[in-house]
This record gives sequence, C-alpha cells and structure tokens, in this order.
Amino acid sequence: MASDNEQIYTKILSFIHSEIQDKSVEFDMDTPIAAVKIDSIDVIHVVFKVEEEFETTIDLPQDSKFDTVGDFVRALAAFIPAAGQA
Amino acid sequence: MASPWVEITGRGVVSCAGLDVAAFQNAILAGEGHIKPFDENGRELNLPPEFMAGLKLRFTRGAPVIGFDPTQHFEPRVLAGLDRFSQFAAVAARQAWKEAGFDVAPPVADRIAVIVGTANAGNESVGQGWQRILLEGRKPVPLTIPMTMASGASSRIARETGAHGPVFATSSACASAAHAILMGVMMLRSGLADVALVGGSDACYDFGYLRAWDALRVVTTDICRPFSKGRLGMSIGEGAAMFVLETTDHARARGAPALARLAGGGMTSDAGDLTTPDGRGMVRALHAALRDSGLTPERIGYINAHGTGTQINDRLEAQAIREVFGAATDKLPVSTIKSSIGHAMGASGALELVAAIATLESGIAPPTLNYLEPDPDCPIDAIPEGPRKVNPEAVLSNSFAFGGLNVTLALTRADVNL
Repeated sequence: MASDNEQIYTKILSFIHSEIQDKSVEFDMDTPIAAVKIDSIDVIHVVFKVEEEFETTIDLPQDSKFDTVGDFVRALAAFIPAAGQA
Repeated sequence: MASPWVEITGRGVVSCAGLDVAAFQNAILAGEGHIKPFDENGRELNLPPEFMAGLKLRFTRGAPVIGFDPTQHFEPRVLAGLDRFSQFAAVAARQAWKEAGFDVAPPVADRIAVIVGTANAGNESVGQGWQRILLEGRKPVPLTIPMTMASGASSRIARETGAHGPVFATSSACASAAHAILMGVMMLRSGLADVALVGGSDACYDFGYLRAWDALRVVTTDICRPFSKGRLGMSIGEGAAMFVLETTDHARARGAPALARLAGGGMTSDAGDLTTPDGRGMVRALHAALRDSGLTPERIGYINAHGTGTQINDRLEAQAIREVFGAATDKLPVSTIKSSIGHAMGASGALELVAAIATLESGIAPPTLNYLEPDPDCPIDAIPEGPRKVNPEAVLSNSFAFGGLNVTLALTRADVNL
C-alpha cells in the first residue's frame, strides 16, 4: 500500500509541476505550498487531471487550506479509492 | 464636438484565405475562391476523424481556416482557457495593434475600448464538452464555462493590450462584427475612449454546428453564387478580423497614418421574422448610414454587400440598394466576398471591412465569384467578370443578420474629408 501511495503522490506532484507557471520552482512534499505559487486555475487543472487519471471525483471543501504541498497532495489522494489511508 | 469620423489605423485577419492581412487582401482582390470540398480540407476541418464519415451533411463544401496552429500563438496554460474563436480574435488583434504602432508605444490604458462581435461565442467548446460527456463518458474540461463566454475574446485581448476602458462583446448573429465596429465609433465620438479595438470572430467547424445549419436548409449543396440566377444558398466560413479605431485628434497627435476613415453607419431592426428578412429594414440601414456619415449617395463608388447567396437575402438586398440609389444603381458596382471565403457569421462584417479597406486603398473591387447569369430579381451590377478597377472615394459595407438586425458601415479613403 505504501508503494501504491508513493506512486500516486509522485503522479500528483508531476501534475502540479505541469500546471504551475514557473517551471523553475523545485518542490517536494515538504515544500510550503506558497512557495510553489500555484493559483486557482492551476488547482482546477490539477484536480481535473487527478479525476481523469484515477477515475474519481474530488470534492475538496471550498475553504480548504494547505500548509505544504504534501498536505494538498494527500488531500487529493484521499479521494482515490486505490490509495490507502495515509 | 469631436469629429464624427474616426480613423482606422490598424487591422488584422485570421481567415481561410490567409492568416494575415496581406495574404487575405491579395486573395480577395485577385478573386480567389477558398470554398473547397471537405475532402480537400481533410483533417484540417478540426473534426474528430470518426465524425467525418458520420457527419451526414447534405452540403459538401466549406471554407474553414486551414493551418492555424494555436500552439504557435499561445502557451498551453493560456490555451487551456481559450476557445478557437478567442484564439482567432486575439491573433487578429495583435496584428492590428502592431500595424497601429501600439506594440511600441501603447495608448493610455483607461482610454482603450475592446469590443468583439461573435454570433457563436465558444460553440466549439460546448460541442467538445458534449462529445466528452456523451460519447467518451468523461468530464468536460474544467475551463469550459469561461471558454464558452461570448466576452472571452474581448477579455483576452484586453489582457494582452492592457485595455482598462469599456470591454465587452456584441452579439447580433451575422451583424455582430458590424455592430461591434459601430459601437467602437460611438465610444470614440462620445469621448468614452480614444482608441477602440473592434471587430468580430467566429469558429464554425464544430460538427454539431454544421449539422444544425444543414437542418436549417440554408446552406447550398452546390456552391455559393450570390446575386446569380440559380443560387441555392450560402457556404460556411469562419475567422476573425480586428481593427484599431482612433479619434482623428488622437491619431494626428501621434502622427499615425490612417488606412481609411470610418465615416459612420446605420443600425436598424426589422422588428420582424427570425429568419426571413424585411427589405425595408435594409433600406433604412442604408439611409441611416448615409445620414450618419454625411456622405451623399453620389459619393458612394462601391458597395460590399452582405450577399449570402440565399434567394431571399440577395433579392431584398439588391432591391434595397436600388431603392436607395435609384437609377444610379446601374453604375454602382456591388459585390460580395461570401462566394470567396464563405459566410464567417459574426466575423463576416469585419472580414468584409478589411476587403472594403483594400478596395479603397487599391481602387480594385473584388468580383462576386461563381456567378452564372443575371437574375432579374437582383437588379445590380455584381462584378461577375473578375476584379474591377473602380477607384471609389467612399464605400458602404452591409451586414444583414437573422432576426432582422441590419448594419451598414460607411467608410472613405484616408485622404477624403466630409
């Protein structure tokens, strides 16, 4: 399960990288989300890609706030049936 | 009081007859035909291959924009929010902005208006959304809603040019661009703006849209033959054209040369049928354009007609012109480029304005292509033989839309005064 989660997290991180405007930003699960400069449109596209890739529906609360990239990634992964609960 | 005439100082084009002004003008003035059988257009029709065979259209010709690669103009991140009609409009606007010299020295942001006419708005994105939902069992792409907004093109152009003044879309079917252009004139005359980026854009090669036109039985199964005996209807085009309009004071103050002068125009409504025009509305639009511009009928040396190629439009338009110009109609050349580039819907009035400017600059009027023989119901000189030297100082351009919405624009050479 842990390796499944790792694969899902890696995939979601790659989606984030493909959407953000500044491709020079390096980040991992521990990076503060503010440092990635992900805007609302980027978030919409990342959510969409995760939904398409994993055939799921993501329903994040409107007021969701994340401190780190990992918080965001784990919140998305929680909607993926194949992912174990972290 | 500001001068009622305004200056056209920039223009841009995305069309089936070329992806810039020079290519478009050369094609139009040479009388080239760009309505082609669909199989010649092949995959460029922008339709999924599986739909090509299943289209089941009665008509087999059209004039889509070929060779327009959006990835050459927009980053993927931007493209994800732009319908094809917005892409066309933004690229045409960049050309116009550059020709006006504003890419180097932009005007005051608060004094720029952007008005783009569109009949279809983001029709293609709607069609692709349905395709994903119903045929592929997927979700529509996340930016479908902003992509379908009629004002999407105007917002994109405002972002690229930094326009902070009045920015919106006009929609009046096939008069959408002409309304946008005349709205720009009114903005400048009223003092609400110094510079107006105006024009029209429509993308038409979505399979559902083509099927819908087929159901209306207005598109010819032959080829578009405006004002000719034997005409059977229109052919579908698409594209965009945009213009920079400026007050005379603004253009002169910065030493910008005018391409032509937009003297004014007339806007009328038939208050009538949704698809059957009323010639009286056309007559009133022509009269209104002459009155607004201050041009007398004797000064009009050419008319760029709406000329769709349908039985009723061409008959009523020809008779409206004869009613306004009387016996002088015999010596008044009138042609339409819709048999060259098809009917580009909400963009048609803008593409035709580019053609009208080319006629003022070159003195050459484009021919009405595919003309077989005169129709007594269309008593005008439709320039059937080929391009003709007409040297007009002033011309009119008609846009007469479904729903009985009529616009006539009046323009002159850059060196002509009231």
